[in-house]
Amino acid sequence: MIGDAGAATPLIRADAISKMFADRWVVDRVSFEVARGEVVCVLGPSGSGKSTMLRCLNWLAPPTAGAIYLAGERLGVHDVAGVEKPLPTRLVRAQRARFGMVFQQFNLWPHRTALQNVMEGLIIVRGLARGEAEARAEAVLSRVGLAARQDAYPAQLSGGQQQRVAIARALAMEPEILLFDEPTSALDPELVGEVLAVMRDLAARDVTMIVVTHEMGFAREVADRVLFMDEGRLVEEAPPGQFFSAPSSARAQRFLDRLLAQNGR
Amino acid sequence: MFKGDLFLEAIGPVASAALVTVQLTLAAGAISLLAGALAASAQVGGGFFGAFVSRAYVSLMRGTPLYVQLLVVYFGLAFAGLSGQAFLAAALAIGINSGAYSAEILRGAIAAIPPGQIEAAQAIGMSRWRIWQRVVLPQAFISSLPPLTAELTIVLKSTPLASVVAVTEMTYTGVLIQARNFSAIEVFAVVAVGYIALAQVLLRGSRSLERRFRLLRG
Repeated sequence: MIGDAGAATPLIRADAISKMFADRWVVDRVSFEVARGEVVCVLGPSGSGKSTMLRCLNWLAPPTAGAIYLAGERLGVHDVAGVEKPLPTRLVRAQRARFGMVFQQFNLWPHRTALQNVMEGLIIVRGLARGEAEARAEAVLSRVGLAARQDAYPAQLSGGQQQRVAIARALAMEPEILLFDEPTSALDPELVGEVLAVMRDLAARDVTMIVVTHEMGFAREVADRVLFMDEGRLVEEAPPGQFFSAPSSARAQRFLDRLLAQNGR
Repeated sequence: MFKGDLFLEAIGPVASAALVTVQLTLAAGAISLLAGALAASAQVGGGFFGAFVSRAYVSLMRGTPLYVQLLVVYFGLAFAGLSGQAFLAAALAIGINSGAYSAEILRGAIAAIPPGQIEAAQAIGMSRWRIWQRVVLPQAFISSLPPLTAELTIVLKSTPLASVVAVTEMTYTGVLIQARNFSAIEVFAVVAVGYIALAQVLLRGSRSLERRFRLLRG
């Protein structure tokens, strides 16, 4: 952890990151910090750039401009004799592996069992011996309540169970931070609860998380801070209590009013 | 007249030649799978040059007769100092020819893999090669099992061409018997039954594999 200046260094620092797709700024000069152990929820209408911003962080979608620091280390770029150059892919991969990511569509590998899905990264990326990887994968699966289903293939699991396996797969790699990209949006309503319960448990254990979500209840209850994005910009940043009761921007107010009108929450 | 004794006499030699046919089919099938996987990979992830070479290979194989390809390989091997390698030449020629078709099958299957699965592998830090080897190719093989089996039966039915370079597989054995006792109908009836039996084995094997893999398809 080069450049780590101790506890004061935020775990994540995004400095004016922008992402352009086809002549459009999908993410537009977004800056924020996340401290170790913090849970940050990113809210906003669909198409506001939340997911893309999240994918910038672990370099799945390298930002077009701006800088991201993980524990003080600049991501994706290094200094070669005073000139900024893209980091070699091997090093980008190593940086990316310090993040865990959970996707809306779970993205489990259908040809591997739950246990094998979790073991894969431990063996292939971390280079663990099979036995050790298996022990660790079993432990993580039981942490998300799926010890009994470890030999099931994804197709045999419910959406909620699949998402919990996906969380276990990310957790097993012992990331410094977990990124959630709308983890409950593809789930039937009755399955949302079990996934949120796992995420609550992680939050209670001081796992650092950035959660892009439409679950306002979860954000209000679990988040330490809420980021509100609209049209690629970070419009508002506030503790959830303040954001939900008295948002300072008109856009956030409109967003909340619309949600209220939709589902009476 | 159909002579029963000639029919029965042919069974023994044709059955032992069936072993050669099986070996040739398996060797050519393995080469086909390997060449197909390579060509499909080059076409999808091999950059401009890889895609060009791969496309050239596919159109060359599809645009020329297997018979000619076999002669080129056989005499090409002889030119390279490996003369008289009839089995090797036949396995190579049939395998590389079929590889062009396997490549097209696999390319379609690769394109059908949801990009999210590749992203999930990237997210945990897997390299491109590992993603290819652990996520993309296994699933491409599983989902192309039915068309790949069909391709393997075509390989099986192409093996008689090996008689051109005097590999004594089933058909050539039939030809040799027929030349001795003028029993064309009887001998080739045995040969035909042999191919049907082998094709059945292939189909059944593939069905049982497919059943095993059914769960694994997303």
